[in-house]
Amino acid sequence: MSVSTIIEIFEDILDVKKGTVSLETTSSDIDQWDSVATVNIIVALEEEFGIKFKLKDIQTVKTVQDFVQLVQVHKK
Amino acid sequence: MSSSFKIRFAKYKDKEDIMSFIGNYWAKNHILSKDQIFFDFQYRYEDDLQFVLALDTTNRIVGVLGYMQYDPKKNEQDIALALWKVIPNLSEPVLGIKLIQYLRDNIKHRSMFCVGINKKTIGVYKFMGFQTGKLLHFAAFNMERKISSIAIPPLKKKIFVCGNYWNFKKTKSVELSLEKLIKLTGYKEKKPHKSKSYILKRYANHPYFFYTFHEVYEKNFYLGLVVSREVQHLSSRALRIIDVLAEDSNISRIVNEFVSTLNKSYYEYIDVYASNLDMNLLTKGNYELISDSQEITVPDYFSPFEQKNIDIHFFTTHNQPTCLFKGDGDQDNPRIMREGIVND
Repeated sequence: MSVSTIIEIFEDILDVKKGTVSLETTSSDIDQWDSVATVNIIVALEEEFGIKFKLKDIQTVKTVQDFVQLVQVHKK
Repeated sequence: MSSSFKIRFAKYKDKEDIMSFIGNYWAKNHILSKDQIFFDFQYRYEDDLQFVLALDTTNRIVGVLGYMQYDPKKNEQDIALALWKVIPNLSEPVLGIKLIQYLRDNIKHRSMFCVGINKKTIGVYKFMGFQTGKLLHFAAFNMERKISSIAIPPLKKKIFVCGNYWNFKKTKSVELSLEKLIKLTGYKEKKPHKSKSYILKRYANHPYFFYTFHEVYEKNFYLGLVVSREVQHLSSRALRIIDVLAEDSNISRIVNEFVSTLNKSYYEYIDVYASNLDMNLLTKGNYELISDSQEITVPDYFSPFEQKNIDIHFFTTHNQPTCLFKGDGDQDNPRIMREGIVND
């Protein structure tokens, strides 16, 4: 699993320039990051890493780092 | 994890707050934020409003999900979802999904669907395990109309080939025609299934749009109804098939034969948006496929008029292919009010 791939997914879905998203970025940092974008990111991560999240998994995620950890947990 | 938001069904007394929410967070001049008659027409059911609401700790509405029950007296009914909006940047990132889940968990139904979903939200429906797709758009062009103001037709228009045994009669009584419809075995099994009272309300009693009903006969055998609506731009007119109320297996043939009503009419074309039509039958028959066409343009927006092709996406929880039309849910409705004038 590559952190840079996850960041690329964020930048692609949020339609922001490369380098805008870091591990500390939260939804309040980027206007385009609304609840729909959150789910689109989740679906993209599921497809990229062949995993399946549950609704409760994504209720607590706030930073990009949280998403990375979520992917790591599901990849195990 | 406990949520700081409460989710519940709307009551009629919530109407003003919902209308304000739509004006503030969906579209400022949206007809549903201004027009009480239209709002009631679309969302009132007995003493309730067909909305699920999300409220914060101060009881302020922070999210809404509108829906339409096709047959509320039945447990096995189909439900169309409509307006769906949650205020951005709330502490609960999946509140929108929870609104849909609340509806699924608390209302008896066999399927839910929505025609006209935002392309950006397709991922949300996929996450929920729903089927998504695009309605196909077809049009048949009137050979006798030499000038086109609404559409950009193909360079060569088709000569219509219609069967001898088909007959389309304008209904004298929609009520009587619907009585015949609901007795058809194939219609009873149709999914989604619209009840007689829903069809009457949705099409015959629409406060602003006038729909025409044609009874369909093949060899004098009643097959169902075609619901259509005339649209106009400048001095040109076109006829749009908004719904076909018939057994699914007959729908593509009905649509193909319906062009016989175009002969000697002043319409530029007939068009239809639907899922699960027989593309082969229609494109080898009297229609052109408009979806993804570079050559032909058939608009969907008339107020303001925009001469461009528009895609209409949908989702359904039903796992078999189903015929959904532009008339399903809230798609074929006026959107904007300007100085008392209602536009579609």
